[in-house]
Amino acid sequence: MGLFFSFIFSRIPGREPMRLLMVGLDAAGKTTVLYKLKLGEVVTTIPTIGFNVETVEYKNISFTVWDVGGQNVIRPLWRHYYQNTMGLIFVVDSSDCERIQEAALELQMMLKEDALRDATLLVLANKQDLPNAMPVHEMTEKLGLHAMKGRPWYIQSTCATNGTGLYEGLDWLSSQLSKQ
Amino acid sequence: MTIKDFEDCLKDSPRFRSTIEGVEGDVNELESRLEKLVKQCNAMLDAGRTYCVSSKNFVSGIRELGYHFPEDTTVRKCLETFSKKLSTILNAQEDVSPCSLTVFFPSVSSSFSCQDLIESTQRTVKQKLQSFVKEDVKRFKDARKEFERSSETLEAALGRNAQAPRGKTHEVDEASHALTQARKAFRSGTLDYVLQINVIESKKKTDIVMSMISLMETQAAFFQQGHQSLAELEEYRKQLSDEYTQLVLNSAREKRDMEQRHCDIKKKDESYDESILDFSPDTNSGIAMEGYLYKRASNAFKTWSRRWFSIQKNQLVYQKKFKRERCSSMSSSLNPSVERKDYKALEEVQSIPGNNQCCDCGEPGPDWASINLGITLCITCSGIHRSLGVHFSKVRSLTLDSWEPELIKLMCELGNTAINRIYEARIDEITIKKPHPSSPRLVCLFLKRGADYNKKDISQKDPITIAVESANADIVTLLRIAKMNKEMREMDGFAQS
Repeated sequence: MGLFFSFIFSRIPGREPMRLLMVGLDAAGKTTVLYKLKLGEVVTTIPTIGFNVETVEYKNISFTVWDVGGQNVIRPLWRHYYQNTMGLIFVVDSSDCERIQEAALELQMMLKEDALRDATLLVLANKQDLPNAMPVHEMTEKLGLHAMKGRPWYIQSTCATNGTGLYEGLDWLSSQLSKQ
Repeated sequence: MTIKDFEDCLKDSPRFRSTIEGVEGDVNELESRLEKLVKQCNAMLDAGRTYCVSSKNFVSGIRELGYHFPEDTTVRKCLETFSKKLSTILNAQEDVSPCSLTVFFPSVSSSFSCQDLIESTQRTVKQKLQSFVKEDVKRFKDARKEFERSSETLEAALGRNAQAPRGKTHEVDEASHALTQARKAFRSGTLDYVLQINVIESKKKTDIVMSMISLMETQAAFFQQGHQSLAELEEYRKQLSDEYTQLVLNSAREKRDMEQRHCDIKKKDESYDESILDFSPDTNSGIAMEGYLYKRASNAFKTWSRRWFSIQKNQLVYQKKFKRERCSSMSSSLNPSVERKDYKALEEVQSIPGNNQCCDCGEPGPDWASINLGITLCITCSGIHRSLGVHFSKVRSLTLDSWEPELIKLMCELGNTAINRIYEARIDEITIKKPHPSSPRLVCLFLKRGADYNKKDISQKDPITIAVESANADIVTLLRIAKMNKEMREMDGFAQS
């Protein structure tokens, strides 16, 4: 929490790297995705209380990726990271059928925010390696992505622990963002 | 020793002479005794004056101590009243002049202080005795000298008279005349002397007794006055002692409450994460949450400094040294009702036996939980559980997630002790020991199986599959299945070799 508040007051000027915000329900795999991208390895994570931020270089594009804790009570704090966000990465645990509705709800709420009006949306259907993982088309349907108008979006099936799909997702994002 | 027989003294008989000698010795002794007594009296008076001054300082010290309690009326009043009384006893009011105190009856005076005691002792004892020594004894000595001189003159005249040549009538006449003169002088000197002896004999009695009487009066008056003064305080004293009893009771009660609270906080401290302790909401002042956070300065240096932040009326406010500095709107970013519920979850779930320690590694004060296993976990072990997938363990934070009442109820029906009885039933049979907070924890849950998870049962399911199935089922069936697992393990076909 302390780190979070200090962040609010320390607006970092300059916007050379692309600012990406990575959110999602708790235990979706956001921190694992971030460090897989940054370090190329699977780190043992603990629940994120506050946030992690890393700069990731990919294809000569620099991404500043903000990874924010997803527990129910701290979800309202996401809004403080919205400003200047160019790309929104929404990570979903594909094997957690029980909470896909909750994830959908959070996503819809978030996209109504004015600050994210211009943000590009990338959904990562994570944990595809687990048994009972929902396939991408089922996720798309349950998240109600088809109903989304006026915003570029893409859903990518991933497995953060072996890295599958992560760079495909980044490829799509960078191509979208460079178009703007 | 008085001399009654004036005839005898005029005769100047040897009896008279020896009596005189006795009297002289007696008077000399009396003089030296009295001088000694006067000296002792002086010493006592000096000491008394010193005592008065020191006591006055002490009393004013007591009064000044009263200024230390400007708000506590009980203590202040007690100190003031007592110091006032003491100073009255020590120091007569200046408006009563010493002359108004009669020397012999000082008790007439309304206030009789320690100082008065000293003054009147001075007057009654010291001065009396001194004047007795200086005047009466001196007069006696003068009379004695006179007597001795006249006695010598008489003796010389007698001698001359005896030696006077018979033939010279003129000389004889002269000698006899001188003798008559000397005898006359001797007689008057003797009478004077005897008178002085009688006077001093009687006066020494009266003077000593009188000074003793007045001394006794003074002492009696002083102590009576002191007693009276303090007796006036009796009611106040009683009241004060009641107040004291009340104070003692109150402080004992306060101490007990404090200890109770200390105990509670300690208990909470053991089971709570520190970050949650800071979240103690103060509903009376409308503060939802408060605590220290680091804030980056807005000046050129951008230094970080520690500030006291609070969330009140949906605003984030921080202050430096009691002064409110800046407000930053934070409307509805934190929902107090959700938090209140979380506290309930935390407290209820943690109160279940065994839940005050991480189920896997035993670290105290876990504030994470697996809602399908019904256990509490430390943050590290919760990370491991999350990495296994939700089909295995559904991890929630006791503080950062909202909890449905039914979920709390279910959590309360399970608990670490109950679950470990099942999962760790055979922990003694395997070589790896249960992990503890400092050891690598990756093995946590698998170790718990206590079974060979590669072995398959009759329906071709390994224990993990069974556990997974049970985890996917609802919590009530979990226990049933876990129990069944245990029974199955106990059967030969499923037992660990």
